[in-house]
Amino acid sequence: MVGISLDEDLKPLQEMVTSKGISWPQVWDGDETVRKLFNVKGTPSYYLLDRDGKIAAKDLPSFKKLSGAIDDLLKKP
Amino acid sequence: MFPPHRFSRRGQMAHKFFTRHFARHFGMLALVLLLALPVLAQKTSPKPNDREMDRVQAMITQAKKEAEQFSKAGGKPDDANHPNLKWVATFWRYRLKHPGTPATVVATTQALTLLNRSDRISELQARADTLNLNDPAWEQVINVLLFASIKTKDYSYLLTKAEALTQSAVDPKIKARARFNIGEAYWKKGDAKQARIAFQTVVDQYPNTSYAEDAEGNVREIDFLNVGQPAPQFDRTTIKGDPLSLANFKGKIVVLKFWGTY
Repeated sequence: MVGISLDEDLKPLQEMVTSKGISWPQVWDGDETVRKLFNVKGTPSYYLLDRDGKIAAKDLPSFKKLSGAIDDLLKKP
Repeated sequence: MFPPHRFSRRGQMAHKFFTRHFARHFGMLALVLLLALPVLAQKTSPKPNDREMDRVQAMITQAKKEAEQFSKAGGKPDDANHPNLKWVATFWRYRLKHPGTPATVVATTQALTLLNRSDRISELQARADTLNLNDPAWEQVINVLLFASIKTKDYSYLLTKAEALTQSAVDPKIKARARFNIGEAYWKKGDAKQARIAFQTVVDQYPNTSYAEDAEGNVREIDFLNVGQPAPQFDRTTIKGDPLSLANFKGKIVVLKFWGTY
């Protein structure tokens, strides 16, 4: 899991990552380069990439949908 | 004003002097105040447009409150007694009474949004039909029509109206939004080819608008961000200062979570 935060300011992001003990790497995308790269239109939004770095699923607006897609991907060899 | 016997002669003279001079100076004072009033008013109270906008916003807040109460009490969205329908009429009356103001754009959009929420799609379309193609409300209204068409999965009315707007609207922002929504409708329908044509038209014909920027992103998504295509690569530094390159995750399943603390 990689978190890409679209926060305008870095400070609230750092505070939340610390207070909630978020362990996965966080990228601050204040200049929106990564957002634009993936054409993300709203948050939260997930992209799922397979072991070859290819897009396995996108437009996943909820964690439930995401976990279903991860299960499907894990079943593949 | 006062009975004369209460004044001494001196007093009466003083009174005459006072009234004469006071009247003159008061007249001057009043004149100065009268001239200054519009300037003072502009500085101390909001402009009429802002005041009207506040009024419409207050109506929206009230309508929302009533809708929440209604649904809490067990009312259904398509109920004939739903307060939304009363508010549709109120917002529309406001529209007819105050043509062509920014607050009227908001009121019009709100009326049609409430009709969409109440699933009254044919009434929504009938009211939208009464709007002249030059109505400034179209920039928002064409969005309400898009939401309604996504909900019903029937895009024919939206596409017809949006095409008419791209032909006849004067405001380029409305033309751009209409063309953009044509793209969105085709995309939702599963016709990525037609969607791409519409988005590319927005990029070419309305450069330097926010619509062009969004349309450019959509063209790129249609071309390069499909399931099965390699994800775009990026190299960044994490907030802890460690380098992060997507290429280093090869062999692992990766979830990219786009989020915000807001």
